[in-house]
Amino acid sequence: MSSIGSDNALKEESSIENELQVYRSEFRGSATEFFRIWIVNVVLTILTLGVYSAWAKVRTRRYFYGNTFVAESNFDFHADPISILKGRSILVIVAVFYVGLIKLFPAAVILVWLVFAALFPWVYVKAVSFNLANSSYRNLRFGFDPLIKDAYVLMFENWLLVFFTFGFGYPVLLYRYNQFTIRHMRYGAKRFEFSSRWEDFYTIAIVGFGAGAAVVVVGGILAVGLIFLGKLAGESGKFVGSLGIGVIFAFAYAGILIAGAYVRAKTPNLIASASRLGPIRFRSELKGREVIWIYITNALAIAFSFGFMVPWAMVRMVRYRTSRTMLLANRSELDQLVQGETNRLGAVADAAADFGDFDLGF
Amino acid sequence: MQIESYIIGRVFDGVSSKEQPARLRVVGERVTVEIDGGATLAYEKSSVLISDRVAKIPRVLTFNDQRTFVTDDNEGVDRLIKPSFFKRSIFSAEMSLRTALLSVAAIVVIFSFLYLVILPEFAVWLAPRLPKSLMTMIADQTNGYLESSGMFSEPTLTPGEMEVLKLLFAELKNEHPDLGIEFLVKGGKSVGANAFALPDARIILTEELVRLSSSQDEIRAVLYHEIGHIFHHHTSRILIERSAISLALLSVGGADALGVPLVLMTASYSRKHENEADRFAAEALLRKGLKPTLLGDVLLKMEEEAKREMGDMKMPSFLSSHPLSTERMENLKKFSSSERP
Repeated sequence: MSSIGSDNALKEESSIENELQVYRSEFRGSATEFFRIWIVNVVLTILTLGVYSAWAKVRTRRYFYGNTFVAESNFDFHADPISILKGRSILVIVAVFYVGLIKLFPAAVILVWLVFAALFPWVYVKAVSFNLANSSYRNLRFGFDPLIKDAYVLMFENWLLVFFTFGFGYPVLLYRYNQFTIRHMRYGAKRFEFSSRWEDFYTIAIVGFGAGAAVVVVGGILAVGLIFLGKLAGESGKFVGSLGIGVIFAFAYAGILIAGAYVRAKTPNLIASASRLGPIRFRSELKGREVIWIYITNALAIAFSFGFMVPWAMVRMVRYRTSRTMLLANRSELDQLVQGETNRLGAVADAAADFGDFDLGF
Repeated sequence: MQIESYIIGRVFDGVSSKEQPARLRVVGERVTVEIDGGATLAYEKSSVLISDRVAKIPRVLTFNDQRTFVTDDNEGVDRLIKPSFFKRSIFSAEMSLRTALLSVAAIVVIFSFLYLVILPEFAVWLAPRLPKSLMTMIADQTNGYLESSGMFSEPTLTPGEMEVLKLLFAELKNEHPDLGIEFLVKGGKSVGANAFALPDARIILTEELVRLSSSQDEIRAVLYHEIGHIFHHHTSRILIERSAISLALLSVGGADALGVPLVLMTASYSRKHENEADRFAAEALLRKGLKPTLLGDVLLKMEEEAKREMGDMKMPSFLSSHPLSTERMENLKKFSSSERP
């Protein structure tokens, strides 16, 4: 029984524990399963004139969170449907008020948008806070706790940035906004960290824009050729001419779509690799062409099925994103995350029970 | 002797993220949780919160000390602690294929009925009851737009031609004095030979259409069609219909859903309104002893002229808010044959 031998044994055991592992996330739900939940949601929402929609939202979230597994545990969502109902009722009242006001005083649009802009940081913080405080993994809650005044300062600075750069500063805005959001996110007691460079956001924007522009240029050349041919052919060529114009629109649309898809795929990848939770790192491997393909085929399916393919499309997109997301951590690190101050019931209730969830896609 | 069943699962103590395999048992009013290689916890059954069952996701039991017990054994949980009738019903509805198919059928039927019958009828009922102030405001907006857009120019008809038209206008106004119709003649520019009914009961007639018509009766036919729009409150109705569809699309699909779907869905309503206006014109023409096909003749001429300007592109019927002229001609012929004494 040599002490060296037992030392070695201990070292071996701890080194397995200390090995960096890749934990891929996995979505275990299916479209057929979710369709049935979704259709019952729709029917009950119609029968209750929209009231059930709050419960439908919670059920849907729980289905997607509950079927998302990482390291053998799934996520959970705890929002009280009543809070969501309150938030939605406020939204509906505001929307009706807005539409009515616009019809009566079209000039009031500016005033309304100013008011929205003034409220936006507050609404944003409340909504994200509500959603995160009601989300958990392994019975530890997430959190979002920036000072509201910081959110206002951020928004104000961002407006100045975009204004003085005539919009070219947008990638920097994206960088600052993501940095703010992630640095104020928590899991249990632990803050997320974010370390990226604003230049990286520019790279994505430039490449995306370049790809889109290339498509538009190709379309433009094609269109000019067609219009020219049309003019040559005279009367019978009028159709060819208008086809050329159609081609411009089609290629312009495609260019925007492609640029958008590229940015929408690469940005989460960048954000993931820039984020950490203590020693835990994240990776996202979305591909632009896959994202755009799924997005287009989803849109077509939904359009041609008069909306009945929505659940299928939702599952498809979530499954793709989940399969391309992963954690890099040691087993032991995953187990050592600890409750935060705000995991106590009372404090959770504060953040979570607000007339939360403004359902604005945050 | 009672067979006690265990539920296998994991405990998460809410203090750290580490999982602890455990078994759960219900004995009378107590719930006991035996952690593998560790302590046994006990709770009052009534104090345990159980998550709603959704498909096959793991079930979570939450205890009053913030610990949770997670298990895949949904059946087992339901056996030990029966969920409420309401929750059971929703869950079994979600799991039943038959319910799903019935729901799909019901939704299709309900929405078709709403779209084809309820909304149009509601628009017919509501249109005459809309507050005058609203319609005046919309009319003002439309007029402002027309002025500033430069779509029309001053007409270049001779005073003689204008006199003849004024007589026709006066006669038409007298036939429907309560509608408050006013007539305007404008130079059509790129709009060409055409006529429009505005929200404030004013009718615009372009001089190109005046020149295109081979008789005063053809102009009369077109104006009857426009008066038909005003008589049937089509501007108000399409406004109501478009608002309702926009609202529905917004709530289902968000802002993305507006645009193409909205255009497609309101196009069929517009076609219906055009048919109504045609019918109005046909009946008015018959009362004057004129043939309804007169309107068809003018429409064909207008279409020919438009083709000459734009090239020969045919739009499929369902995209067009006006029914194709061949269709309209057929309908007008039907009017004349059915109304003949």
